[in-house]
Amino acid sequence: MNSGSVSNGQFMSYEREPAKRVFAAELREASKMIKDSEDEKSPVYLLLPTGERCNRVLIAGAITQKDKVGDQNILYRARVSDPTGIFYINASSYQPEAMHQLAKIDTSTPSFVVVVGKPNAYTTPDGKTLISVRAESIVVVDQETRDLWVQDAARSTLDRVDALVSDVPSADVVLARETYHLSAEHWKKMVSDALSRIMQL
Amino acid sequence: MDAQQIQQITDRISQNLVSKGVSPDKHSISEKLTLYINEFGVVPFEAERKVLSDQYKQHKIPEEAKPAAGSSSGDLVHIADIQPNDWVSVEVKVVSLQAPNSPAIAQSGIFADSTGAVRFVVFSKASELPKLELEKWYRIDSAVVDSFKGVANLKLHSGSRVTEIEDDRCLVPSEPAKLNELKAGVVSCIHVKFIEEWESRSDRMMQSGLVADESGRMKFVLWQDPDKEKLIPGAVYNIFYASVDEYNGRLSLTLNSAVWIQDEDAEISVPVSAGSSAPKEPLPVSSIRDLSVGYASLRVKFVEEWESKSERMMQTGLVGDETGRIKFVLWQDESKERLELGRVYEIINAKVDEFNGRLSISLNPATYSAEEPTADIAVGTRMDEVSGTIVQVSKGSGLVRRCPVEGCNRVLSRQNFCPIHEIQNSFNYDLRIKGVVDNGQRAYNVLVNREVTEALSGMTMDQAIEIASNSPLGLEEIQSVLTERLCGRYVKCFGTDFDGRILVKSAEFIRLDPNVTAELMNRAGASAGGNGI
Repeated sequence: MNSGSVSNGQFMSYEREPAKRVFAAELREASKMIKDSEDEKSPVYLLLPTGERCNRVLIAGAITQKDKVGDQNILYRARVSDPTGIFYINASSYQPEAMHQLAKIDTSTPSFVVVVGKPNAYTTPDGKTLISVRAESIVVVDQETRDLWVQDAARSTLDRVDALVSDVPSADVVLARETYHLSAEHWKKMVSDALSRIMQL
Repeated sequence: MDAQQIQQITDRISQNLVSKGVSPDKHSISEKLTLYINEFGVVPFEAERKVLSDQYKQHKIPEEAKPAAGSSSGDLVHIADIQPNDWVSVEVKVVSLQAPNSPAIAQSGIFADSTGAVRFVVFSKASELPKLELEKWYRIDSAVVDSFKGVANLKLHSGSRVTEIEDDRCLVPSEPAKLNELKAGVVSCIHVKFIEEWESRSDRMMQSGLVADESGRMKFVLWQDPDKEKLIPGAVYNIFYASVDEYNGRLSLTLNSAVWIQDEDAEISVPVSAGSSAPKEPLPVSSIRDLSVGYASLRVKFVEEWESKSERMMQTGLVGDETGRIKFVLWQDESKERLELGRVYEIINAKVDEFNGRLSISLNPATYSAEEPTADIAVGTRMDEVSGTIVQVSKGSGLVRRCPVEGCNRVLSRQNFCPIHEIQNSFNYDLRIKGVVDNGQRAYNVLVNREVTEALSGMTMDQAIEIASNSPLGLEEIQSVLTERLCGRYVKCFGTDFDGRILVKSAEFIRLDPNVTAELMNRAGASAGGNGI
């Protein structure tokens, strides 16, 4: 249902992949990459534990660290924390805009950022799968925008969780249930913990 | 996160520094941890890592450690004087208790003294604190004043001390505050008349409407609560300890924290202020596009009838003119006639209301009459609405030069080359955004015109021209300014779909609504223990 292109008469018109709103604690648990066909150009998706595929994410949080790596091929790495955990962000010279945006951000004092990017799974030498996000853009925002994102990610996650426990599951939900073994309650707890951090007391 | 956990992390970092031969500045460490964890929502282990690594960097240039923070049990202060981030001691009465909306919170409610009132919360982790009881006085030591969206509230954590005050003292309520002087927070007392009751829009809502005093009027909400009774329309009340909330720059009252006493002898003459009272003369006809809250006359066609959702509603639907459509409501009223679908009406002095940024009109105060059955209006096309995040400000956004040949207006290339009229010596500037608005389900291409771009970015075209001419990047600088100011932001766009691209006619930023957080919280907790997989 989330194919990257839609048939439009004889032409294939490109339809941009939407950016999924995912909390760090969920993205961290994701590990399975899926592909619809063997075709080289067929897009690769990350299967989220709540049962939806994604190849673009929208995330927000506080940036806590930024490092410049390499001399010839410069790569910037950053860590962004939401109320549930850490996102690992990178931007190389293949994403010049995101790299310049990240280079400009001052991390000596905390600030909120919104990141749009592509999730990538890579395996560490000790066999652990880590998910990093290759940034397409990274922008400093105010607290209200971050809070709106927490609401947005909460709503999206709860929608996915509803589908995860559905009696008529989609193929991706079936695959997610087989791959990941975390309950709907686990994700709801994560959502309510995240919300409680932005709640007016 | 409460102070005890921050303290534990502070101790760990301090021990680490001591082992490196550095004497730690616990106060600053704990402040930084608090900043990262409580203000910026960073997970504790990441905040610990960050603060420790900053300390390592800092101590390459050893600094004299600041004196440790003084005793946290400060002098006794009045509620009216407390400031965000203070550690305070207060003597207060519990005037309201509410059901906590998170398991992390043991108790929440309102404290008052003779100078004012403030919301408080007791964290569940602070299990050694006694349970606070309604109507009792307490001395609270070492509570932290937190501020959320500019409203102070008092947090009681495991480091706080609570002592019940046994002597019998009474709380003298302050003079009623005027509605036009209220600020977000808690208001000790208001003296108001219930002037207008509104239809409840949700099951969770018990009652809502308008209250007014001599100085103005204000919306109020009362959420479902078996211990509360509805207010009587037309009656005058003294309302104590209502919460004053701000949403989209407007204040409203939430009465769940409050107590009220009907003031049967009093009468309040509610002012007849501009914009909110019915005009005496018929207003000239306006266009739907130009409407704002108040009263207006319209010439419209009744284009869509909706099923009315309540018995009190006689008729509802959409009326339209050349500039757009708007929802109308006609409440039950024997003196009013239903509208006939497809007919054109002249409506004099309808009331224009706003809810969540959307306008609608009420026909009850208006007079209206149908025109000849042959009369018609070409009703403006319905605007598409897209809400989401601006995830991309694309190339071609910012300042562009347009071909000056009459009727052409194409964007010129860098060399001032028009694809039709070739090289041009002059041009007209324009400002626009080509971008993508994404709601998580679908990504929409949008094209935002100059007027809306200026409004969203806060940068006029003239300012953009000046920025571009002073920047080594030239026109490209404007694209990056627009990206910095708008990318990642939540917007609601109205416009028309043209060949897969939405031509945005108007747009606004989506503002944070704390009620949404509460609703999502309910949803996340609603079926705890249910549907495990």
